[in-house]
Amino acid sequence: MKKRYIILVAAAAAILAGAGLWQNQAREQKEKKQSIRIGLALYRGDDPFINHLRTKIEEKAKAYEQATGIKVVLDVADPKDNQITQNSQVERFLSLGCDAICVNMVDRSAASYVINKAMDAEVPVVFFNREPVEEDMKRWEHLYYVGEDAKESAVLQGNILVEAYQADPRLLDLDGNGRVSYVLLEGESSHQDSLIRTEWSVQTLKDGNIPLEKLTGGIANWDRSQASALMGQWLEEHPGKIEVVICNNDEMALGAVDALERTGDIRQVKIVGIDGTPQGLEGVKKGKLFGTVQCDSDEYAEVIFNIAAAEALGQNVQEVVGLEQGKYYQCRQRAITEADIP
Amino acid sequence: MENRIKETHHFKNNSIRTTIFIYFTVTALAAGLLITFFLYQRLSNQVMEVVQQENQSLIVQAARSVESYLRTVMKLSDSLYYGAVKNADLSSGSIHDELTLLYDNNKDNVDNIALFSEDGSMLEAVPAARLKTNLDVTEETWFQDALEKTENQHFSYPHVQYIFDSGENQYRWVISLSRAVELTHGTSTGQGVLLVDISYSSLEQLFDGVTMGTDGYVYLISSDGELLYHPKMQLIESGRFRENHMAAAGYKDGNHREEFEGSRRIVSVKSIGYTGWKVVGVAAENVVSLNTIRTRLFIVFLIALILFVLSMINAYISSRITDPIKELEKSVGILEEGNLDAPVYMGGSYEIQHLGKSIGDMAAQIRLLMQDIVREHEAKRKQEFDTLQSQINPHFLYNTLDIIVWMIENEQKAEAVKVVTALARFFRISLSRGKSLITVRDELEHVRNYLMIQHMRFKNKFSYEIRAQEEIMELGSLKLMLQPLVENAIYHGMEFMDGDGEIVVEAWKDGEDLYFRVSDNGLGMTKQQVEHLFNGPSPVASTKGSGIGVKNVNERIKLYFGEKYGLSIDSEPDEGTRVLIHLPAILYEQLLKKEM
Amino acid sequence: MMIKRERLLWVIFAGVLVFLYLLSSTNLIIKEKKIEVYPVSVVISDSSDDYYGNFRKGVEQAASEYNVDISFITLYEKGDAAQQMELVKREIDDGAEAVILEPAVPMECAGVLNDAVLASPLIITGSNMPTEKAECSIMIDAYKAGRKLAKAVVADNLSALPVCVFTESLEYGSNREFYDGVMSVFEEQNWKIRLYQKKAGDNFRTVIEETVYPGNGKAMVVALDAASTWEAAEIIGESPVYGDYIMGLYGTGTTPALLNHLDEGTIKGLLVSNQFDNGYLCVEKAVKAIRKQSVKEHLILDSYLIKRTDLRDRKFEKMLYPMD
Repeated sequence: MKKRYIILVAAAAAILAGAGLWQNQAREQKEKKQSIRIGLALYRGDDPFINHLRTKIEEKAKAYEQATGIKVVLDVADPKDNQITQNSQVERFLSLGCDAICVNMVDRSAASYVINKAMDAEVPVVFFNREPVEEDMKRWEHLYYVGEDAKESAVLQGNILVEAYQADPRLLDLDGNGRVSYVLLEGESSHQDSLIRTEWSVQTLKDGNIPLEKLTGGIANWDRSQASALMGQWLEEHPGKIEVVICNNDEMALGAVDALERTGDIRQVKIVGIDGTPQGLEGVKKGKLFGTVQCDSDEYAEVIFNIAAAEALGQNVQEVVGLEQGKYYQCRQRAITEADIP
Repeated sequence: MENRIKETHHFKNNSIRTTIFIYFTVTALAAGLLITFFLYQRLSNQVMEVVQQENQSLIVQAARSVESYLRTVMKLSDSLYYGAVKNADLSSGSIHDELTLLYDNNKDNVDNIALFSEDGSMLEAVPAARLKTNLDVTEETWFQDALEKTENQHFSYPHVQYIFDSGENQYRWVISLSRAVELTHGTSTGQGVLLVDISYSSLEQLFDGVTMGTDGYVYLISSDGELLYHPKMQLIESGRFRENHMAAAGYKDGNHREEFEGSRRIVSVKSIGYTGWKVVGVAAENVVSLNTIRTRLFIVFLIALILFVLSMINAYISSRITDPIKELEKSVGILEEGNLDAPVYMGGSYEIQHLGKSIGDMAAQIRLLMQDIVREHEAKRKQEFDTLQSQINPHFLYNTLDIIVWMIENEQKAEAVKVVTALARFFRISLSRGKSLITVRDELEHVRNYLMIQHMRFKNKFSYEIRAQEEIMELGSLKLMLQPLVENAIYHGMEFMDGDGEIVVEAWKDGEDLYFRVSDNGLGMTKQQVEHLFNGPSPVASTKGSGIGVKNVNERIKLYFGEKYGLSIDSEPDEGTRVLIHLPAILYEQLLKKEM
Repeated sequence: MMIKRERLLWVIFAGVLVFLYLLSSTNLIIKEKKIEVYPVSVVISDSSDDYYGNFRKGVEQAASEYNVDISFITLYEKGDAAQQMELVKREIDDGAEAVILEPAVPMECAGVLNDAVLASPLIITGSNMPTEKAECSIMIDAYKAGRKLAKAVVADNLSALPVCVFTESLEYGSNREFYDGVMSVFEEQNWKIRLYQKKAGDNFRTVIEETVYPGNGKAMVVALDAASTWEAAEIIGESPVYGDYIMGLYGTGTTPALLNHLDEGTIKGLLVSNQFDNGYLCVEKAVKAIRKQSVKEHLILDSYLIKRTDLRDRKFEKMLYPMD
């Protein structure tokens, strides 16, 4: 009698436990379809280009939410240019249960840490703007990279100047000495883009048969105020000589503009940048920048977001976005000059 | 009734078992508690010590890393100065490249490097930077400090980097390291200030992840107690969190106990060289996990477990001891009920076995003794019966009555009266109301009456004499002792004595003993005849007297008074016979009391 | 050999042992404090978090201390109160255990809330809402703040000047109370006020330009919210000409950009409060409410009127530039 009683109780308990577990599972499944969580790890929150991209991604997320009714939770982390901090931020994302993460590496050579953690947690990663090396990217099929082709941007940038020169050499050669004197404002020393952009900008100019004279160059770390300071120094050192300023990005270009305005130099120095940030476009519109290369930030943000969302929902990414080698996406770019802005 | 007895038995037995059990258990409990208590204290103290040591070493490590960090930065300042600035002629060339090289190598920790002249104009800045317009650097604290004590390097408190035009949306917290430098312009030298802005976040990182257990943390203060780093720095500033940092500034290196805002904490302090800064670690005193409820419950559980196990062992042991006792007690119970044949339990410990054996032996002895008693009683009864029988020997009565009738027919009235009286007295004492014990007086009276009657019958065959002391008259004696002996003397001794026969009955006391002697000068007996008298079949059916034989008398005496008393016969054929009776000299009243 | 009663005692003893063991060494009865993560949603009244930098830092500090999973929700469109309430409902439905709300339009929001049944506690910040539904509210006294600001304007200037009051809309947040505070001082001093609301279609740029051409004359500009302050500052900062006509720009907000403008002199005075604390306290109270330890409180934070020189004051430095 007692035995039977015990068996009954045990059976009842087992059934209850099973039911509870099953319910939990069911609820979890249901929840997943209703909302997705995406972690966005930047390299530096106050970099205007990155910030602009972030705003666009947030917009895309909101639009997606309104269109599909699936709630999107977007977590943003700013490590202030510190790789260690970024690593712990990525870990936090993974522990919070993000379905996918978008990572803008502080140090592109240190991507393996992030990749390891993501693979362990089985969370897909969309790298953007700062590209990990190919060997790292090959490690998993759920790693993606969205970026702008640095060479292409540089060539486009260079072509702005080449076309201008071909139209009228005096546009570039202000003092008419037959040489175009330029200074170079470069981004971070370790960034792949600064090297490529610098190299190809100049090369394009050379290919366009423009007689060049490099006055000087310097690293301004993508930063407007640093560029402003450097430019200020150069204007003092080479008064009246600088004719063209080639900048790896718009921020530094604007810094050069600041310096010119400060010194009251009214010569039509041609300053070109890359990025097409809102501030950069503003500068082009006002005639302060001669031109810039814009990568369609809408497209940029959209691709990043779409890949992440598709992965989060378990959809086939290849159907959503066309990728090279199943991983890479290069945003389209175009040169922008004053004429291009309405 | 039986049940209650059983219960009482049970209860009493249980109380031995329970007593042992309780004593054992109390001892076990006391031992358990003592051990646990001392172990707990010891462990608790040791854990505390270990935790404190670990905290201290953590603090020391943190202090070391801060020190090496500061040293790195100070070395950078040195390299900048001695390597780049000191020997450079600023009028002839720029030291920008050297500065850039050094900056690049220390980018992680350093935000800005800048060189100023004495009047506050900026000579170099790496990375490229511009001073804010309208800013007078000479009013900055770090600038003034540097020039005040030119031989030292000065660390400022953390502050927002303010002097450079750094872009709209940024602000950086830095600690300024400044020193006075000698600047060379062509042939003239002057003073200047070298500024190295250390990024505060790289200092923060040194403390990141340094935890002192749960709820513990580490902070950094300057020598006069100003907070340099604290995990909740922002909250302390606005007053939402309080910290005892001003007091900590006064502590010497090592561990201190303090009570702050109601909680007790252990504070570990380590000073850092050169700057006088202090690394302070705070840990709650109760972090030691031995104090949680679960641990306490575990200790209780442990004690209970020990108790349980020991109790079980105790119960088993005490059972082993008391069960045999119980068994033995049962056996005794059976014995008490009268079943003396029941086997007695023999088992358990040596003592119990011994007890059992002894009880068994005692039971056997009791059995034997009881059998003896029974036999004695039987014998007594038989003797009694014999005596009773002899008390009314018909032959003697008939003969004597014959004589009386003849005397009456012969008009010998007086003799007849004498004989009748003697006969009455004789029978009265013979019966003695059923008692076996009478006074010596009565016994002598009895034999006198007998002798008188026999003398009447066997006229002139013999003469007799009774000699007894007065003092023995009240002593106790068995009845029907002398008469059978006299009877024997008459019928065996006097048969062939034509008037010369003599029977003497004596009675005297010798100390504790009482003696009677019946002597005759008759035929006497051979040794064999004497033997036959003692051991022959009884009763000897004697037609001539009482019928009780010598054997009977002897046996009766022995039965009543003991083995050492009795009859002895000394006889010589043709000479005579002397029969001696030995009794103890006890007053008749006392004898009666004894009987009862 | 034991009798029944003894046997029972042993069984009970064994049972107690098992129970003690379960209590002390397993997780079945007394659970080790599992680190609970509380999901909390913060719904602000703007479409981006540009002006919430310090607030957000406070929120995140508290989140890491109290193990809170924060969802920072921005509106699709600024000032859309209906949508904000929907978002609040949505967050609660999705499992938010508490909601920190900065009402976009207090009156409207209160209306919706008072009818609704909320499953999770609500913490109100930013502006006062007449509702009983909130567990706790944390904000500055906007009326007092307005008075402080206006008093500073009056103190800095000897003669009365016409004042252009810029705001996105009086209905947003605490703007109305702020305005009332400002108005009360100016009316006492007999200064003329003209109100311009962006939502009503006024254009700040036009107003500022009009001081120069066609020359409406010198004026003061007082902005009631951070966005208006920033816009005004940007416009005035573009050209030094404006500086001659706009005798002073006073506003509110603590973004680094605004502080920079204060430093440069474009803004003369800023009304600020400790937004880091605000964010921190909101999360702290939210956690308390979730743990059911809360007391219905109405916390008033201090507000300060800071000038350029105050930027380097140790007292304000950490408040304006929180560390993180």
